[in-house]
Amino acid sequence: MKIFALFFVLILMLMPLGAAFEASPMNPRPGETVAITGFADPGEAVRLSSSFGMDLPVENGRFEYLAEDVEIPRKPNNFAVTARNVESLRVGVKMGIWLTMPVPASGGTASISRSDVPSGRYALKIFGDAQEGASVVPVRVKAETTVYAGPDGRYQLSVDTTGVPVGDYRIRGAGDVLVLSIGGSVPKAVSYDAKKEVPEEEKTSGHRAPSVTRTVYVEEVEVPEEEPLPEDRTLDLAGPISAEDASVSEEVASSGYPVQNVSEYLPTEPVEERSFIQKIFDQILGILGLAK
Amino acid sequence: MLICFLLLSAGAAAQNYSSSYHSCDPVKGNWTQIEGTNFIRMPVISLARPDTNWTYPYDRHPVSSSNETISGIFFGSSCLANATVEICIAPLNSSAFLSAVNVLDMPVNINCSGDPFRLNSSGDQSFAVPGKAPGIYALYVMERNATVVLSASLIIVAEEKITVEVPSEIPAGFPLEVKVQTSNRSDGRSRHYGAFLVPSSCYEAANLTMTGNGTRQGTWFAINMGADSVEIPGDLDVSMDLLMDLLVFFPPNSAVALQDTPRQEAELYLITEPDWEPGTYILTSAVLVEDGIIGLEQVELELI
Repeated sequence: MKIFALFFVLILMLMPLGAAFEASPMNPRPGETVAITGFADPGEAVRLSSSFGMDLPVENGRFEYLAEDVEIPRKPNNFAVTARNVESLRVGVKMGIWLTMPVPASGGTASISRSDVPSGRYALKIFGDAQEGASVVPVRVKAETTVYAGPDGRYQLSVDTTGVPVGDYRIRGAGDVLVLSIGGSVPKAVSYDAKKEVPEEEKTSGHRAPSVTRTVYVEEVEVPEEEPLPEDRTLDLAGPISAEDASVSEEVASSGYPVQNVSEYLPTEPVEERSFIQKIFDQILGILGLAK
Repeated sequence: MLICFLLLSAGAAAQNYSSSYHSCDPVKGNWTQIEGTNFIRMPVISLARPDTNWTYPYDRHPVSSSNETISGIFFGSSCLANATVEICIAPLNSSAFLSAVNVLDMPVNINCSGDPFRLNSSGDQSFAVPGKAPGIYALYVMERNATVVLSASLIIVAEEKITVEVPSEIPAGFPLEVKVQTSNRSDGRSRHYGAFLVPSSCYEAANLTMTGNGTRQGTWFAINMGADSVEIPGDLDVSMDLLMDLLVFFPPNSAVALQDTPRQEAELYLITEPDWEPGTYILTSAVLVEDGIIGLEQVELELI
C-alpha cells in the first residue's frame, strides 16, 4: 500500500544573488533522487525551510493519513504541523515501533513543533476527530534544516522523492526558477500552482485520498537577528494550500561536498530540545533520585 | 519499565553487609517470592559473571499499592533450617541492591532494621510486613546476628491501582484505544500517561543479562531478543541514541502511546498494522508523576 503524499520533500537551497542552481533530473520518476547543486561561501551554513499543506477528507467524523518511508533529515532540524477543523489530533511515528502522541487542540486548531528529531526513515500517521460538520481537515507542515557548503562553496542536495505525490514543484532562488515535474513527462519552465487529486493507484485502501494543492517555491528570507548563523540563507517552500513533506539527511558525497537528502517531515510536539521519550526517561530517573 | 526501575536507583545507606550467592533453584537458592494481586510480567533476568551466575526464578512481579501489606515467601537454602532472619524494606539504592545480588563486588550498604522471622526446617518462611508509601524499594532478607544479606527483591509501590479500559480483542490494523483512569482527583500535578503494547511472545524471547567485573564501570546490562541485543552501560549513562536503539529493538508489531496531562484520565491510541501477527499481546499502562508512580497495570488482549 502506497500513499505517501503526506509530507513531501522538496529541496531548499538558497542561492547567492545572481548565482545559478541546477536540478537533475528535471522530471524524475516518483522515488527517484533529484540532485540540486549550487554555490555559497565556503563552509557557509544554509538554513532551509519548507512548508506545504493538504486537505484530509473526513469520514464518519474522523480523518486519517499515512505516509510511509519518510526520511527525516540529520540534525539540526525542526518540524511543525498544524491542523484545522479538528477536535483532536494524534501523530504516530514508526521509529522501529509505533509511537503515538496527542496534539492539544484549541478552537479547532492543533499545532505541534519539535526540534532535533532523530534522523532516519520512518512511517508517519496523522489521525483524529474532526470538528462537527467539517468535511476536510487542512493540515500544514513546515520543516527546517541546515546544509553547509563545501570548501569551494559548492553544495549538493539529493532530494529523495519517495512518497512525494506526482506533480510539478517549483523551486525559486534569487530570481531563478526551476520547475520539477515529478512523475511527469515534460518539465515546465514557469511557476506553477495546480490543484489535483492524488492518482487512484496511490490511494490507500480504506482511506480517501486527500485533495492536494501544491505551490512550492524557494525564496530568500531575511534571517532574524537572533538567528545564530549570520550568513544563513533560508529557502522557503511554501504554498497556500499545498502539500508536501520534507526530510533532510546529510551525508558527504564522494566529491567531499556536503550532500543533503530532502524528503519528508516528522510532525512533532511543542518546540523543545528534549524529546518526549527522553523526558519520560528523565522522569524515571527523577523518581529514582538519579536525575542529572 | 521494571527493568528501568531495577537498573536506575539511588538512595542513602548505613550498615555494610556481605551478600550470599543465589542458586537458580527457587527453593534452595535464597530467593524471595513476593506475593500480590497486581502482577506484571518480566523477561528472564540473569547474571552471568565468570565467578558467579544465577537466573531469577520468577517471571512475574507484583506492584503494590500505597500502604498495602507486603507479603511473600523466603526460600532459603537447607543450611538455614530453623535459623532466624530479619526482613526489612529500604528505599532502593542501586549500588546496594546490585551488590546484594552479586552484580557488584561491593559491601551491601543498607539502612534498615528488620522484623525477625524464624525459618522452618527447610529454611523457608512466609512473611508479611507493613506497607510503604509510594516509591521504589528493596526488600532484604538478612541472617540475624550476622552481616550477610541472603536475598534482595525489588518492591514497587504505586500510589493506587489504576483502571485500564481496553477491548479484550481488536482487529489488526485498527487503533487500540486505551482509557487509563486514576481514582484520585486531579491535583494539578503533570502526569505522564503511557501504554506499551508488545506481543506476548516477546516476553518469552527476551532476557536481561548482567555481566561485568564487579565494578559499576565494568558492568553491562544486555537486553537480548533472539539475535538482537542492546547494551546499557553499568554507569547508566543513557543517551538519546540508546533510547532510540531500545525503540528499534522491540519487535515491529509493538506500539507505544504517551500523553502528558494533569487530568485524572487519559485516552491513549496505539497504532496496529493489518499484517501484525494475530495472538496474545501484553499491554502495560503506567501513570508517572514528577516524584513517583501513580499506577502500573498490565493486561492481556487478543489481536485478531
